[in-house]
Formats: sequence, structure tokens, C-alpha cells
Amino acid sequence: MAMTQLTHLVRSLTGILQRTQFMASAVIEPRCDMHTTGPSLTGRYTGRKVVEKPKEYTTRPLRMVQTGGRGEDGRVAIPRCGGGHKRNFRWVDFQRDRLIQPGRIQMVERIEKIMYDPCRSARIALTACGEDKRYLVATDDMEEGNIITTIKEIPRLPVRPNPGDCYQLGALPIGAIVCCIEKFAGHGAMICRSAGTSAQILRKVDGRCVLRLPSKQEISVSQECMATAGRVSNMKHQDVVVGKAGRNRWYGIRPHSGLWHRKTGVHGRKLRFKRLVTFNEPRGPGQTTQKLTI
Amino acid sequence: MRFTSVLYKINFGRHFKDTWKTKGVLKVPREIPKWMIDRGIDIIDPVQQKRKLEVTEPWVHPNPRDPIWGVPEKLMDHADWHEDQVHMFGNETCLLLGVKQAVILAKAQEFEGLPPSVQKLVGRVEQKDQDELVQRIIMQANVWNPAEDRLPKRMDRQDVGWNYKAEWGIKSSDTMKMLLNNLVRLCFMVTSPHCPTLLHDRKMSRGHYTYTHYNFRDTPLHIQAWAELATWSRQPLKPFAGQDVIDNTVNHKFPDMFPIAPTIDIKKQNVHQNANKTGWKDGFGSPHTHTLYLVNLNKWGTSQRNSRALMFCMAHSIAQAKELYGNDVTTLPQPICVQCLHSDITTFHLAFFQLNTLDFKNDDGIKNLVWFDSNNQLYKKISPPRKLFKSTKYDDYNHEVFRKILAMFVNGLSLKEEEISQQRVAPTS
Repeated sequence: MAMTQLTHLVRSLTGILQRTQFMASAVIEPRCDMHTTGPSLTGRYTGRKVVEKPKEYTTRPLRMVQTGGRGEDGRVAIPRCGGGHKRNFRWVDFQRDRLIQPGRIQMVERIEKIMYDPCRSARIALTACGEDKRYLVATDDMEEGNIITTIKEIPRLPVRPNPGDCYQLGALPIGAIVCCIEKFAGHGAMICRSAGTSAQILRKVDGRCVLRLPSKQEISVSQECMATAGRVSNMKHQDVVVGKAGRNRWYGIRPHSGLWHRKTGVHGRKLRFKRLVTFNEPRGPGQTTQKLTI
Repeated sequence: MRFTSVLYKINFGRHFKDTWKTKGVLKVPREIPKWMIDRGIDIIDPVQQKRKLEVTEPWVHPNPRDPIWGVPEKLMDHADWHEDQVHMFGNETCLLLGVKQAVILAKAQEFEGLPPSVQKLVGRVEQKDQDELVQRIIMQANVWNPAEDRLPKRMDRQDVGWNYKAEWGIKSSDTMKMLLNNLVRLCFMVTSPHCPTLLHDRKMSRGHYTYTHYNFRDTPLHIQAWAELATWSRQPLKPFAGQDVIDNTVNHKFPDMFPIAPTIDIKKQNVHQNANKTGWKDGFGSPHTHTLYLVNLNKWGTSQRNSRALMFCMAHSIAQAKELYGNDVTTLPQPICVQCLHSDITTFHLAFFQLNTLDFKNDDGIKNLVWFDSNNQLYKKISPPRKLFKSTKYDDYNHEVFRKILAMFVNGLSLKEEEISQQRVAPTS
């Protein structure tokens, strides 16, 4: 029993190390090295992976393949994955400032369509600017035909945020509700991308902003990080009751093992003091994956 | 003791370790054995010498020109590859905003319905049993064709969970092509008693390819137009609208597309030519494009399909203008007109384009003209839910649609003057 628990822990640790190594690359290009679905499913990718990896950004839906939670070796790496409705991956652009022309501070784009994305709980917005089209995570207030701006400037006085627009955290006032927040400037949005989520700016200290996340966790990020004003779309997602085992199977979630598991520190509602987490610098490219074996 | 699955398991670890103890040590002989030297075996000490690899000739297949060994050509080795990229409009170009975007690219003022000169021709040429013949064509394309192709997986958006059985039958692309081909053939048949010079005046081609380019606001835009069918006339089509309508276009303003560029969704390409091809060699007797017949083998909306028709009509008219008046022409002595019919399995859309000017530098001045008559449903194809294709019903035949197609076909012909009878031919439905 202890052996299997240990192997599970080891596998999850190796997974985390591999993922953080990918997240560390600091470029402002459309990143196709890792196609993630939704944050709630990051731990298991719902047992699917993107097969097509185009070099340039595209709005064409990309083919996804079901892995069943199996890793490279063919053995179950992530349990409870399998089945479910077929999905195509829409490459959502989390770097809102990617299309800002060099030498300019802001850009403007128009929302053409707000659509359903099977790979995430939030809705996605198809926007167009110039000759470029892209998908963005839609906020609650976005409607078809709206024009949204992305401003990469920190003025002396904070601005009043317009819902749907993207600003740097240093430009927003204290108490502003934001979503799709970057951890490191230029790396793309990583926090609050799920349906109905939002964070609040608590205080600004010494070129950094402290935000309160939906889990009441406080984080400190650089004021140059971009964030979208407003809440993520599809607020009713949390009210959805699964209702039956079949609906979970449609999502690609297989049943529990049925065996009795001893409750650990993860279970229960014990209140734990959450410390402030500071995101200073991303891990450099020198970090290599470490495989832990017994 | 019972021989259970646990006892049946072999402890490979223990066996490996036991075997390794005895055989894990490599015993290197101190001296080379005598029998090896006697046999004349070449003994090489790997520490002292390196083994010489025998160099043999690389193996060549007895038939080196077999395509199995073929290497695909690189795009950069293409004869027409250039370093600069240009916008290329083709068969697969689906414009984001459809007609709203295409009218800016074509600098055309849009009108609804048929142009007045074509509206007058509706019902001018008729045959008693034309409706019955059209219905027979519909049945031939949809039912009587004995083709047995594996049809694509069928899904009903209103009933997503239902799994339809795999079926063999007529592909939708074949239906569309057969329908279009036969309707055009019927147009020829119905018109020939009314026009003795029909075959002299009107020619038809299949799979016609045209290539042209123009400068849209100082950026080059190339268009490759394919048409399933195309009819050509000896004399050019007369303009759909007079000089007064053309002069009024100066006041027309295009809808604002900000912040989207009009060339969105038109992909850039390195392979392009600085050419103008009408598709015919010099000396062809009927060089004037009359009608293009396109087949919509796509799942686009009506606006996107109409935009493609408009761009292809414009390509043909620009190609003709450059052929007649030179490559640098901007003002035309006479407008050039092209018609287009594009169809679905059941629905027909008509487009009429009149090229007045080739000045695309800005939105000012005289503009071109375009008429769209969309969503003419010839018949209804009713597939009951959760049933196979054989229970499809064909209903609601609309006789007006073929009359419009005939009017479009007859436009420009010199018809015999006939006595228009008091009682018009009653449509059979």
C-alpha cells in the first residue's frame, strides 16, 4: 500500500517538475510547446493531448487525442481518465499584448463571436484586429461587436478599468477586480482563467501588486504583469450539478477505484494560515527535469 | 499445497542475481587459444586497435526512378517562388465578414434582387414541360443516380446522442455537380428554339481557371478563380445599370470595419505570378465571360459564399479589362459585366457584377456595382430524424427559381420575336 502511494507521489512530482520547466521559457511568441486546457484540469489534462503543433498561431481547431491517462511508457500516469466526448483544441492566446505593434503602447480589437470551448469552463471570444484573428478567454461583460483595448503603460495616477480591457497591474486602482493575470511579465496569463473566477488587488508595495485569489490566497506579482478587468465568463458554471455518474463520464472522468483510502491531511476543512506567495523571477532555462526512482 | 497465482509468479530479481553471480564476470583469456590461430581468425585487441569498417558500395534499388524513392519538391524551389508575400484569394478563402468585406475589396455598391434588365427577361423564354424536366433532374441527382459511395458520418445537431448507421449512396458534391450541369443543359435545350444562333453565340467550359491581380490600396491582391462551369458569349454583356446609377455611386459610403483590415482571412503566399490569365488562348471566338457556375462544397454562410462569387466575377472582369485595354487601365470606355450562379444542394444564389472602374487606391470616385439575389430554394429535402436517407422526401418545388436561372442564361442573346400568348404556361408543381 505504501509502495503504491509513494509511486503516485513520485509520478505527480515528476509531472510538476516537467511542467514548471516548460513554463519557465521567457519569450513573447505564441507558445505551442504546451497546450493546456483549463486550470482545474491541469493536473490531468482530462487524459487528452494535442497532436497537431503548428509553428504559427492559428484559430483552426487542432486535433486532440485521448490518452486514457497513459504516459509515454503506456502505463497509467494519471488515474480516472478515459472516454468522454471528442474534443478539438482551440489555441487560446493568453498573451494579450502579443499583437501590440513595436513602438506602440496599446492596441484595439473587435469581438466577432463568443463561443463555447470544450476544453475549458470559460467561454472564449474570437477577436480580430488588422489581419490577425485570435481566441481570448471571454470576460462576463464581453459582447459581440464590442471593441476592447490592451494598454501597456503605467501612468502616474491609476485608471478606471473598463470591463474586458487589459491593463498592467500597476495602472489599476486598489480594489479592482481582475482576471487572466500573469505571474511573470510577458509569460502569458496563468491565474484566474476558469469560469466565474476573479482576483482583487489588495495593495501595491514597492513596484509589486498584492492580489487576493479566489481561494483567499494572497500573491505578490510584479506591477508590469498584464491582467484583464472584470470576471471570467460563464458565472453559472459553479451552480451546475453533475447529477449522475453518466455526466462525469461525458467529461472523460472515470470512476473511483472503489477501494477504501485512509483520509490524509488533504481531507477536511481545517483552516490553515495562508502565507503570501511572491513570484519574483521565473526559473531559468538551466533547470532540468529530475527523475526520481526508487 | 495449492498452486496459486502468487506462487506461480517468478521472482526474476532473485534469478537474475543468482545468474549474475556465476556469469556476471567476464573472463578474459590470458593467451589466445591455439585453435583460433590455426583457423586463421583475425584477432583484434579493441584496446590497441580499432576495427576497420569495411566500406561497401551503397545499395541502390534496381529501379531508382520508382516514385517510392521520390523526394517532395521544396516550396522554395518552385519556379514562381518569390521572397515577398502577396495576398492570394482562392477557392478556399472564407472571408470573416463576408459580403461586408468583399464590397470594400471590390469597391462595389450592393443592391438586392435582380437587375432591371434581367428582371424583364424572367419568363421571356419558356417550354411547356420545363418544370417536369427540372423535377426529373432533381430526382436524377438525388435518387436515381446508382452511385454507391460511403457517405460521411451523419450527425444531427438537434439530436446529438443519436448514432446514425453508416450508409452508402450519392455524395452531396456529386448531387450538386449533376444538378448544376443538367440545369445548364436544360437552359440550352429550352433556349434553342427561340434563338437559332445559340450554339454560335454561347460556349461552355468546365473547370475553368482564371488568374489575375490588382492593387488594392497599394497592396497587391492576387485572385485565382475556379468555376465548375462557365458560359462565354461572342458579344459582351450589356451594362446592367445606366450612367445615372454609375454617377450616383460617388456618394455611396462603405460600412466601417474598424479595427479590422479588409484583407483579413486572405492568406499571404510566396508563390505568385505577375500574370493575367483569362484561361483562353489568343484568337478564341467567344472571349467574353457570360456566367460563372460555382458549386458550394463548403459549410459557409450565405454571406461568405456570395463574397466568393463577387470576387470571382471581379477576377474575370479585371482579366478581360486588362486583356482588352492593357495592364495599366483604370478608366473603362464601357463597363464589363459578369454573372454568377452558385448553388447548394437545394438553394441557388445569383450574383451580377458590373466593373466600372479599376481605380482601387481609395474609396472615392465611381464605384462598381453588384446585385445579389440569394436564398432561392428550388426544392426542399426533408430527412426525417433518426431515419435513413432512403426515407428522404422531396417537396415544395419552386418554379420561380428556374425561370430566374433561364433569364440569367438568356441575357444578351438575340431572341426571335414571338407572339406572347395571353395564357402563360401554368407551372406544374
